[in-house]
Amino acid sequence: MQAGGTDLIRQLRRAERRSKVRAFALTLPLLTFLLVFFLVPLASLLVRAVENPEVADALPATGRALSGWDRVTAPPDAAYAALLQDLAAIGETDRAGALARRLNSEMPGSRSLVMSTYRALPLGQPAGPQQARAALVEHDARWADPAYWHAIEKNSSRWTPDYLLTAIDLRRTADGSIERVPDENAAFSSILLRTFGISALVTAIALLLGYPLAYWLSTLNERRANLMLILVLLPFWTSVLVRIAAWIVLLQNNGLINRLLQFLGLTDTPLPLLFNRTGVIIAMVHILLPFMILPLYSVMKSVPPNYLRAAVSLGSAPLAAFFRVYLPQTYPGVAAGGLLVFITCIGYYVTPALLGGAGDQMLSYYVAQYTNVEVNWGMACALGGVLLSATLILYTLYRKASKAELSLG
Amino acid sequence: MSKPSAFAAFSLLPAFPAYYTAFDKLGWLGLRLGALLVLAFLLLPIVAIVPLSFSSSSFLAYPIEGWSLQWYDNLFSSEEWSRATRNSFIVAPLATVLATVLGTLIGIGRLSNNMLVRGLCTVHVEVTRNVPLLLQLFMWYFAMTELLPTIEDPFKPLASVFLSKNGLQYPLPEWSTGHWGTVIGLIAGAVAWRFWARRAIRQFEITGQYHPARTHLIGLGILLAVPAIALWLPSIT
Repeated sequence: MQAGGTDLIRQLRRAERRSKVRAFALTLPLLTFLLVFFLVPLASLLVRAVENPEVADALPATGRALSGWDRVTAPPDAAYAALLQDLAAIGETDRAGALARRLNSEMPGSRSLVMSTYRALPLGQPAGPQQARAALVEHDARWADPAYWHAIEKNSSRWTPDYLLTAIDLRRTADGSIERVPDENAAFSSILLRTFGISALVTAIALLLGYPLAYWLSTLNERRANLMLILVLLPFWTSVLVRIAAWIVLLQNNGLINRLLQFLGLTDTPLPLLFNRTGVIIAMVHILLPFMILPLYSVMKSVPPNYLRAAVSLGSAPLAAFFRVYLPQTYPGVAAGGLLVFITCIGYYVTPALLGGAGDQMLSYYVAQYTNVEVNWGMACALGGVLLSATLILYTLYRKASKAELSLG
Repeated sequence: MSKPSAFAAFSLLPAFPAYYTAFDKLGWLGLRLGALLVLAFLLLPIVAIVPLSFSSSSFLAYPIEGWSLQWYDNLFSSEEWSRATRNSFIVAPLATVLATVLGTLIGIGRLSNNMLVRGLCTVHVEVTRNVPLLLQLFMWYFAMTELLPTIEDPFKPLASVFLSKNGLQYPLPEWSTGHWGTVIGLIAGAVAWRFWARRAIRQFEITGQYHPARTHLIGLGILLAVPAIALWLPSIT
């Protein structure tokens, strides 16, 4: 009896364990998929934001020779010899180019200095450190300037916080402390603020425009609602580039909007609507409005109209009934639509690039700039990391707020 | 007094309930007017851009001075445009099929009783939805241009399959008449699988014993074995 009982328990355990293993095996493809297609690229992107391999790889001996240097006086002779030795060992021109580019972004002028020295090697093969210094300074007098050596020394470690610091307008000083970048050089915090400002404004306008339309759609009978939904979906299905071209047609100085305004006598001179903030906002609202309307509509369809009627029949004023009975029931739709529009906005690139001016570009523009034009992956990844963390922080706050709101409602 | 035909949405001014005040009626009208204005805002650019495709001028501007089909002619005759169109028609169906399959699986996963599956699927959806699109694009660009190995030293997940910065290279079978044997064998194998599965169900009805995993694993074996035999037979005769 007793023995049979434990046997049964053991069998049950074994069966449970087997089903657990099987369930885990079934999740393996999903786990691999997530790992390969999401986590690994994302993690390596974030790692690249603090990685600084160019100088450390190309000039290892120079980095060692410069450790302990006071960063102000002339660097030791050994560093000159080490630099010649490192440059001679580089081999491929590609790597010298990467080194020159990296140093140039730290200290303008380094590119020509490094490349001309690299091409002029071996500079008469100097015998000792003193001769190495003489040969380098003779080749280019800039090698006597400690600033270039400081650029090498600063980047000779494999990991650097510099990209991340630059992305939030901070920098390391020569003595290693962190300070704010002077206002005339500070750019990224205002870009980040601008990105979130434009996104918030577009989300608010889309909500204001989308809410009444979604409400009206939800009151129609099915046949008519479907017809109207197709009208909402028609622009949604149209390519974003086509819609931007359409807004250029409409918003230009002798475009349809300005002509209509002038015809109505509202303005004498054409309003500047294109290549400024107004144009960007109008087009972004237009592109993202369906993303707001569709979640709102689906939530509003599920709100029973009886509650509103009951509130009114119990003596509530219609507006009060709307704000206190109807609106809280649509919060899930407002939250879903708002989040969708806001997150999509943050990553917008094409619309501001085509319809905005220099002062209307969002963070994505600079990520693209650093990727395609300046080939500075570290900076691009750091900006991406800042964007990601800002988004995640906002999302967490939103989750907290919306939960509180929903539980009140 | 109003012209119902001009505005379809106003066409049926309802008999307002007696308790409706002027304010309520105004609100009713205001809502419809507002909704229609928003709809007009949504449709205006689409309506405005279509006539320009028939314009003879190369400027994107009104008024249209002359009509022509030159842009459509261009679209259908130019090699560049037809290549772009072809690409669209390759990418879109592929993306649709993949997204539907993956989306369905992950959607079902979110409702799973297994906590790990549910968690992973939820995380995937939340992360994908809440990471700005730009970052995801950048991530892919970064992965393809920086993380993948160079063409000289490609990653070989299978024999003759190469993954590098230059893309995915894999062998494709070149069609010859001998391959009909494989095709027929595959069809025969699928039919045999079906019969095998039916037999398992008959067995289940008689005995109450049912082993779906075992049945279909053997079925898969049959599917692969039949064409293999079809390939092997001619070589021994």
